[in-house]
Amino acid sequence: MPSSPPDLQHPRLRDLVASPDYFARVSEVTLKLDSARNVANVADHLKEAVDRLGADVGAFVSYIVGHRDQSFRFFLACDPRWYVEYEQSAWYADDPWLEYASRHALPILARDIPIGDAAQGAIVRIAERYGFSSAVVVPAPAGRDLTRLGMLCLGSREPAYFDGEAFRSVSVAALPLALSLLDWSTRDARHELLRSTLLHPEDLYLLELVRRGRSTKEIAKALDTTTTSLNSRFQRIIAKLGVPNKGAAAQLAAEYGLI
Amino acid sequence: MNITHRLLLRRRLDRFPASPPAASSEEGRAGYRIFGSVNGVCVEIRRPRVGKGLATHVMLFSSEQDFLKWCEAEPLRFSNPFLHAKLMRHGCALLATRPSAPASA
Repeated sequence: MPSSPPDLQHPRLRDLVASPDYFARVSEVTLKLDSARNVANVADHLKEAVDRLGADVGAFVSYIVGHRDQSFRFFLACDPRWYVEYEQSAWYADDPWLEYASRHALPILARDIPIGDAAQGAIVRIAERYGFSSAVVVPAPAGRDLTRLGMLCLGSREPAYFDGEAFRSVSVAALPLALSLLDWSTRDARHELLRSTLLHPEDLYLLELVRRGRSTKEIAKALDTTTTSLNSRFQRIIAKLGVPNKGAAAQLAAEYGLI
Repeated sequence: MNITHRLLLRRRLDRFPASPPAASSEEGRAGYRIFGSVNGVCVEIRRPRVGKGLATHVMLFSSEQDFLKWCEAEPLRFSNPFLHAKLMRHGCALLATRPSAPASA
């Protein structure tokens, strides 16, 4: 976590993070996420957490990397016209902050993230216009070999607001929040997937066996059935999930925490 | 097979008792859901982008003025005017009926 010398600290943020209940107040909101019943609860909690962390604006995105049909879900605690302007000139897969979050686990000051080309520079300038003049990027990695990831971004309209030692405190308080937001998003996506595909528990059991590397022959033998019957079952699962093969079906089920 | 999996799945679903939106509409992969919120109304909007993927945005509005400003900018206005008109109607109606926000929101 690179940081600037202590004398660059912003007095408002420095005083806030020095207060004895700073971490407890952020944790209190983080814990509320576990019982959030819909996206509105999550958006409310995010807004509250952004305030308690000392930021002016915030955004959380969960996404799956490396898939042909990419999916990005944002919770915004900032002016929503940000994404309208953003999508006019760019797509999220090209975002330098998301690129960082896809490859790293530690929070970073956004200004320390290298900008690859003019398009990435334009993306950052749009963020600056919408309240992220100074920003902290907090990755939320899913772990293992899964590709569903999250990124929490905290912003301030004041340049260099997060510079200095306060950055470390903000990072430590924000990491569990980012992970909890990712956990909620994954649970919600899982619920939606089960609702929309009507997968049976038996389907999930089969996908778990595929995920463990069992061949169709082995599975058929273990379940005392034929490979023809099993392949037919796999075809139905593949169709329900809209993926090309049973390996991809097992991967998708794992991404959503179903197996 | 496999009582454990059945129970596990049920537990996973039970752990997530989602509460429904106040209004929603969808056409194909595009759609929206609107919820009441302690901060006003919460809008979730989902729009596919051809050849790119799917983007979903969840945001809060505490006033009709902010909501209408966003509606004016939202590209759905041109790509799907019917859906956009419904979204505006539902959002304004919910904002008009919401109780006053708490003093220390």
